[in-house]
Amino acid sequence: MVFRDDERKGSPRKGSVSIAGAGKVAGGEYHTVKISGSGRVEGDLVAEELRISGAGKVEGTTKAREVVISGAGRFEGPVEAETFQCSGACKVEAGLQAKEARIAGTFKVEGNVKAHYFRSGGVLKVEGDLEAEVVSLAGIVTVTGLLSADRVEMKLEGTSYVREIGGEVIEVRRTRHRGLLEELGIPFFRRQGSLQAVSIEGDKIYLEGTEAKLVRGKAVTIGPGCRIERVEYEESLDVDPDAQVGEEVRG
Amino acid sequence: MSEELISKKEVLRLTGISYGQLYRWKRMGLIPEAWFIRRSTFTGQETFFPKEKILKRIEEILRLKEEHSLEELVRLLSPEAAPERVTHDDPTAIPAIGREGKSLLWKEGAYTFAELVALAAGAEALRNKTKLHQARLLVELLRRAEDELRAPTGIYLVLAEKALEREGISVRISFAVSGRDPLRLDPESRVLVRLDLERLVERVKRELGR
Repeated sequence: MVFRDDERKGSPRKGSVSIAGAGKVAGGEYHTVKISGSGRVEGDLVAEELRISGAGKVEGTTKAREVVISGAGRFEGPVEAETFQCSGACKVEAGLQAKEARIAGTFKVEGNVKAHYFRSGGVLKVEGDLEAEVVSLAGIVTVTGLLSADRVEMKLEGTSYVREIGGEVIEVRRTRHRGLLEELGIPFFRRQGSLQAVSIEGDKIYLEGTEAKLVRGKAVTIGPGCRIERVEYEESLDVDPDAQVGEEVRG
Repeated sequence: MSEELISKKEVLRLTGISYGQLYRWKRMGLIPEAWFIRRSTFTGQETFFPKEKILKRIEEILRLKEEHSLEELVRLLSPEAAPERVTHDDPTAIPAIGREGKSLLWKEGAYTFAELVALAAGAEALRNKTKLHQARLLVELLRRAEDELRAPTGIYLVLAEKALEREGISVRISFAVSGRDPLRLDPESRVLVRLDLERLVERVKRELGR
């Protein structure tokens, strides 16, 4: 069922449309597009607000001030939003630009992500670069290109891969929550989170559970569970006893 | 001909800027993506820059950043776009494509970076005296190959042809392939053109940055 309002001729306000159940709407300019149930937008969408609860798809480009997805969202064209929020599962097939992006659940982007603030918890996959002023990631992360930010924070669970990380402050930590069996005092093998990377460059770097070919920075701390082939540092280097560093080069 | 390159480490040492600044300026487009040239070295992949351009740009940023915001600096200093944001209306103005590439164009303008590299590959084939329909195979192969273009090291392109003879019918088939070296074809295929994708990407980047 598709409900429309405010489409009277000459109305200064743009129309809103809401799909409840199953339906589709043509692309165009709207004030609000709401999909609850299952719906799709056929064509390019410009809207103040796009809300999807249930399953929604935009078959063209999306430009919106606010995008909120709970459930499943799929964007076949590029997405530009001021705020982009997703809890559930979402796929963006041609890159995302947002001032603020907050993700919980599964999120996949084909193409680059550019944001001021990017936060994600869950399973994140970016097939391209992820760039923001602040990036805060928890869970399982894959970035096939460059992850770059003034501040990069990662809390590892499972196996993550980021090809390159670059920025000012880079902090990678393993999360240490215990499973139920361990809470009950029963020892249970649990693999700690890990990160694989080709190179990590920053002014201040703290790493745990990281395997990398090259780490390069001013003040570098290689924490427990790391295996780094080569570290180049300028000011200081600390290596945890439970870490392996192949080569240390100062200068 | 080729410009002198300088490693990232050397840039930081000579200018005294931090990693944070370098990456921030890159994100803002103050240092164009096209200047980041990846090369394999004995320690793995290393990033190099065109020496003269990068040192001049950093000197300008440092000099102007006191009185201008970084956003203003982008407008002042960096008209060159990042490759993913490239749209070019006159591909034949890029020497790697040149007038040979004219017959390969398929639209009025707004060529993306991948499409420019695809055209450069096709134009190079034409310069090697292949037929137009054969050069087009390379263009088709590359114009959507964003992933390969992002990490082109070790990837080669081959344009080849072979003759098939069955029951008195003889057909000549041309084909284009891309892959990592060693790229082998059966002995009956004849290689017409072989291109190093990394060099091709670099050349287009450099000529765009001019």
